[in-house]
Amino acid sequence: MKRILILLFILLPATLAAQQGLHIATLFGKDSPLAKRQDVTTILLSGKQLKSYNLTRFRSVQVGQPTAADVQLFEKHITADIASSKDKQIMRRGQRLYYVFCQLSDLQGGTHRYIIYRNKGASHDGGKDIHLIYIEGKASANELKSMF
Amino acid sequence: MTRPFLPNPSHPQAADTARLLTARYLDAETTREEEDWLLRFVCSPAGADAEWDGLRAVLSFTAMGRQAATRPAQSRRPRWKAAAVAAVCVGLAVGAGFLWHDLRPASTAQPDQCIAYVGGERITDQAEVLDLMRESLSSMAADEETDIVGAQLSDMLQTPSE
Repeated sequence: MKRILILLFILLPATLAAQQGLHIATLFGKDSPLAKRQDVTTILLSGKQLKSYNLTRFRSVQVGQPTAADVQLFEKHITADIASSKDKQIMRRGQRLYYVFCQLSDLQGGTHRYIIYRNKGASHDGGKDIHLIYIEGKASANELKSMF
Repeated sequence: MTRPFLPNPSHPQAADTARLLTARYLDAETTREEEDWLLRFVCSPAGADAEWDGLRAVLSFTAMGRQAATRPAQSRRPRWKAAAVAAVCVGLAVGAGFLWHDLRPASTAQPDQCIAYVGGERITDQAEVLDLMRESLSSMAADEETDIVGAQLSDMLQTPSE
């Protein structure tokens, strides 16, 4: 028993560090398989450009003509990342995620993290695109929604 | 019980003392000091006589056993404990490194980045990228307010138009 406790104590720092990475990170950036598609718009912002918004990082990916595989990929990553969050709004249409607004656990230093997702293809108004936004910053959820 | 005086093993009367102590040794009544004296006696020229061969063998065997019982205790400390302590120190150092990385001010952790990819085309103009960001946020809200409110009302009123 003592040996097991010591081993767990040793592994604790590594475990904590691993939780910083998000599944949705693979959907953004120039290395993402989505980046070069004609129907995709990706936005990557961080640093001083966002200071006036009280944010530190902004990531957005919008797929204009998503395939079923695209939708499943987005939902799989989003579901995994928001699973442990207690502060989230989720709307579904049938089996599909229609809308997600989720605040993840804060980073060290009190930086908030948000995931916002909408699948217009699941709405009643038609349209097809799926849109995912990831935000980091000191802005509160209400401040963020006021930016919409 | 009175303890006999222990003379020098080479003393002429040492043999008498040794016989007395031998009897008590076999009854397990000797002290450690007396046993040590007996061992010195049987290993000395005075104890070289064949009379003491049996006692010499027993005392030698006992002395060897005593050595074997004491020496390993010092190295009996589990090696895994030392390894575990070293591993804990390494783990703490690694954890401290990650903690330092996370506690750095946000401005130093986020390098400036201002890029957009639209239909595969790379855009780095700051004004244009910020416009795209604002547009992105606005497009998220417009559908949220109309669709969600509409959906909630529809669910409540069970509007047949669905």
